Amino acid sequence: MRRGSILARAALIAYALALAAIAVAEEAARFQPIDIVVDVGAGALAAYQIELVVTSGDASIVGVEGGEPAAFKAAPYYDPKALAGGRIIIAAYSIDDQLPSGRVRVATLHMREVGAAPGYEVKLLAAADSDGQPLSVTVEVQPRPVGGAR
Amino acid sequence: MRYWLIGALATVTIAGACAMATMHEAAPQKAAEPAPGAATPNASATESQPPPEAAGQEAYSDEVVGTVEAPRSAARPGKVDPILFPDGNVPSTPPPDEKSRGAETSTDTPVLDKKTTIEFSDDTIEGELATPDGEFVEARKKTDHGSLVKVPDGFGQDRKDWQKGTPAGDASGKLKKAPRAAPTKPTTTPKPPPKTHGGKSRRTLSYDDVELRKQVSSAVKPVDELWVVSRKQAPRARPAAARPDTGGIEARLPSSEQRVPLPLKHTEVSAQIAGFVASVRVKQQYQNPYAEKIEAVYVFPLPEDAAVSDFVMTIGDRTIRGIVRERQEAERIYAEAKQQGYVASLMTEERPNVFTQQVANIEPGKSIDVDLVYYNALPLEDGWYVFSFPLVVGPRFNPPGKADGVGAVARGERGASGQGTEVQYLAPSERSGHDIGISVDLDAGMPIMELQSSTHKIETQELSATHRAIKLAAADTIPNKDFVLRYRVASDAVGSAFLTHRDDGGSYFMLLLTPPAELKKIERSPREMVFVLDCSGSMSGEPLRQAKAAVRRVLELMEPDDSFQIINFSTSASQLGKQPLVATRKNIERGLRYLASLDAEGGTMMTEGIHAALGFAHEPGKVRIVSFMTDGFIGNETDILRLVHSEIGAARLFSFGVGSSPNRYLLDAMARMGNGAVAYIEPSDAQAAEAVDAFFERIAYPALSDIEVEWGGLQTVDVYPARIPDLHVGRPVFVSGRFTGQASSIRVSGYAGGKRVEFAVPVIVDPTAARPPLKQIWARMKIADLAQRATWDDDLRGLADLIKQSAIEHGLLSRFTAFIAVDSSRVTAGDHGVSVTQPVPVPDGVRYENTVGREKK
Amino acid sequence: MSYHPTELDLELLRAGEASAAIAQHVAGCAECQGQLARIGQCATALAAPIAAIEVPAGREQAILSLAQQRAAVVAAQIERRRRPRWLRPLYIAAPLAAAASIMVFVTTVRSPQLSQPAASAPAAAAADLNSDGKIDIVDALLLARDLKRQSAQQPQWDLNGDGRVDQADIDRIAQAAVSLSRRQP
Repeated sequence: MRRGSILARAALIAYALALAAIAVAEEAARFQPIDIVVDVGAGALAAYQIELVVTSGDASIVGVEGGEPAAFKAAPYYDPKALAGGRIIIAAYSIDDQLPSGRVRVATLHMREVGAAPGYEVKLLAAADSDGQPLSVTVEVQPRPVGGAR
Repeated sequence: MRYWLIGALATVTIAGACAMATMHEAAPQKAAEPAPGAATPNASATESQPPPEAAGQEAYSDEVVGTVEAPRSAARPGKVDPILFPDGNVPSTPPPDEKSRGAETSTDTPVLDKKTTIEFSDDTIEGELATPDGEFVEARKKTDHGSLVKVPDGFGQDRKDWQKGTPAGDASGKLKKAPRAAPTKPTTTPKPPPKTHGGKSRRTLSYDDVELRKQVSSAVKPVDELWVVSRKQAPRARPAAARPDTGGIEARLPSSEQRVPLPLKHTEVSAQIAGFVASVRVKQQYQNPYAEKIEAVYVFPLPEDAAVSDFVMTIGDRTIRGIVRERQEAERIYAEAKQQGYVASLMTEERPNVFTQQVANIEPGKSIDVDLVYYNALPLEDGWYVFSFPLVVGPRFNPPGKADGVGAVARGERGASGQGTEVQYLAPSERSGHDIGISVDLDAGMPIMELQSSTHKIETQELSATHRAIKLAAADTIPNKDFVLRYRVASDAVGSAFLTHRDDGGSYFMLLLTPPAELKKIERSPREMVFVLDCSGSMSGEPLRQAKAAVRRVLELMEPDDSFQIINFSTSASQLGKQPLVATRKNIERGLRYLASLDAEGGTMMTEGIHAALGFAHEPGKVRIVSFMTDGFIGNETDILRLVHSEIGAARLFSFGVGSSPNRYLLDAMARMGNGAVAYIEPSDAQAAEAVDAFFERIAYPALSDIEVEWGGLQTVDVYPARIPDLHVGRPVFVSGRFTGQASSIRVSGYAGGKRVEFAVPVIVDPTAARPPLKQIWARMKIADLAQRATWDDDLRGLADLIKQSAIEHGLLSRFTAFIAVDSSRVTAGDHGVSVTQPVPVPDGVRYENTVGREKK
Repeated sequence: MSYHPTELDLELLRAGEASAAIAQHVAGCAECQGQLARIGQCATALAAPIAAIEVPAGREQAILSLAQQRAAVVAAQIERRRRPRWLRPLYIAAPLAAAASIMVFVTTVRSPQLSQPAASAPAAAAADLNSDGKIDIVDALLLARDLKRQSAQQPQWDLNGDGRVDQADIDRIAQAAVSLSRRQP
């Protein structure tokens, strides 16, 4: 009896492990764009510097894209060492005459994610208007639903 | 008792779960395993081939590309390939009989080898599918084992099998190709004689227009279905077909060029030269001229010392900057993104001067630009600064028995060379429509005395005495030869100098060594000149003519106390005589006659040439000077460099690059290994003569060797190159490293012609001096030195990690890192794109039939 | 005992380590006593010259230091012998070496998006255009703005030392701003 109950427990554990194995083995990587959105309010944004940290989960950067407004169309500066370490600082400036205000998507980071949705945290390091004066802005990170046919 | 039952159930469940898990796991894993050598795992599309030749001339060889073991189990229910089995019925596996075994049978029945080999590397379906009537059908599908198609017995034998019912895939769309002649209707194709294959007799399957090569990403598993893959044999003898009297696609007038629509439209090169450092932006414009999604693959060259530091993918008006990752990781990410339908691009390095660009999921009609930025320093050769930009990788020869070379195959014949990296070449009558734009902004910082390009027509605009704007003339935009721009600046004789830079990381120095004047006062020893000429197929025509002219010129200049030997090699080596001849007039004439008799054909077994040149006994009292004339079109550079390193001894090897697209990486490295110097013979006769004269001047004086530096009060560390190269007249040498301490001068000493030579270099250590590029250059010199050492030093442990670390830290492309960019914002429609490899023209002056043709398997 | 003790036994006896039986025998045996006496003489004769040798003080130290010196010499020889073999095969780096020629005239790269190392200390102060104590994108913006307006260029803004104030200097500031290894105050 004792042997049998041990065996039963072992079998149950093994069963659970097998289920877990299936779950793990079935995970494939997926790609997710992360929009960096800055709310400039009434001001005109001429430069920004933002840090993004992957706080949880498995995510790595596979592309750094510019933003929506013409002033920030080009891909921002970033440190090439921003690898799977999960931390990146992006920054861009613009000397265009037309500078954006209100809610602005300033950049998009293309991420490769595995497993549960990772947690992203974004921190504003600098934001300035065309005179270099600091602007009070808020920044948020928004994973974008992926479009296109599947 | 119950517990035993539970235990048994659990075991069965676990077994089943593990089996499933393995299958799922295997899927992404296989996607991550690229073919060795990191060339694209995808094959080229057959739609890039010209319309088939007249019926009856086409044949298929059953070179199969995948393996599926075929046990005798029942067919999997439910999942049937609608294309090959239009009526949905999969015939069950017949019992083994002589028809299905690979045994020898009569010539009437087709014999299908049940064990065929398929390369499963990724999900792309290659080629196009058509019903036998010639209609194209949707060619892509999700790949899993259930979709593997079982080939029925008697496949191909009876065409009626194919015409049963309506192809289920017909409704899902047709593959339209533009522009393409309608495929010929299959007529009764005469059955070609059986091919012997490994002792078994096999008939070639001859179904027209149906070519299916399926590469799945999962591991090979025993299933009850198998693939017999038939590969369309390429039309034979393209060059012969260029003659107007042959049939086939070249039935048109020989002067008309056939335009082949291909994905790379234009390459724009814009270089900025500031002082003597060039920063170059290369923009490649890919576009999709087809009606379905494609993946573009392009193998192209860059200068061997280019440090590629930036990589931007432009889709419409959006720019996505790529990142440097460890190479295998980048390849895996690319494969995943491609499989999932995202636009992605990947750039990898195959050789220091050969790179591969892959862009996945380019939708029909869309364009994608890839920008890369590199910078390199311009070498100073005999008073001229040289900016060279290579445009095409020459067709390389790979010695038999190796698979890590660079293959050269005709357009559309992907995989024919069996090499890890492969370049496809256009036939002489074909044009891809890919053209080049080059613009150079040259700000030399000093008055420019002379500026010329002997390779291309250029338009120059003088902006100031020190500033020029150079552009490639519109008439000269075909990318089939290197672009070389030379310029000379006004400067006082540059002596040796010592420069420093200091930042938070420490102090760095750069020591510039020029040969001291004393060298010219030392008598040189008599010379044993050994001329080695590459007489392989790629040298046929213009390149060999240039090489011969150069050798002739040197022979005429030789002095009576010199001796000479002439060696020519292709597949093997031969030479003028058993021993070197003394340079008497009579002997020189003998040499000239021998030279004139040389022809070029065959493979390039450069090892033979090196053995012949360095292997024979040294004549005492003479310095052996080997002049190696070649285009460098080989795929086993590492072997050659290793051999030179081990056999050079006290000899000196001077390499001469001939032809319009020499392999500069190999030639520069050979000269370094050989304690000599490299020179390039350009197509212009005047330049060639100048290069030879400079060479002769160089060897007229001894070089300073065994150079040692007394650093005085400086403590130096991390000095590169680790061994200071010999100083030749006309070629300055640069040494870089880190240091602490102070000194007012350093003493450099060496030996020339047996005599000891010493000179001093003044040192000014300015603690505030900030010249940041010096540090980056030091970093790259370190990487390059380590990489160079890796070609011969097998014991260098951790080299890959060292290089990888340095490359990642500085965001540079290298052998162990790659650039990847993914646009994750959109999934493109459809499953997978067809892979289209961009073929390139054979370099100017090189004969197609002597190079690309010869490597057919 | 019916036999005589061996020489070894007698030596043991001298050392006081023989058995009682042997001692008893020797006490009653003239031959063995004679043998014992001879052994004693031998020992004395041997000991005398040794005793006459003077061993200097600190002899261990001297030997050890001699050995160390010798070892160092050998090690240096090995090192010297090894280095040429190690050095000789090492060959020059790529024509990147020629890059150093630029150093003679101190130029730099003019690519707009080039990764460059963080500014050195004196340059750092110059890069902080708004003097807020940190180098960030705002400094890059200010320099770009000044360049666009073509305001008088201050030489300390030539951060890369190429003799010009241009996009490359702006890029250096921006790269420093995003550098992960820099600490932002």
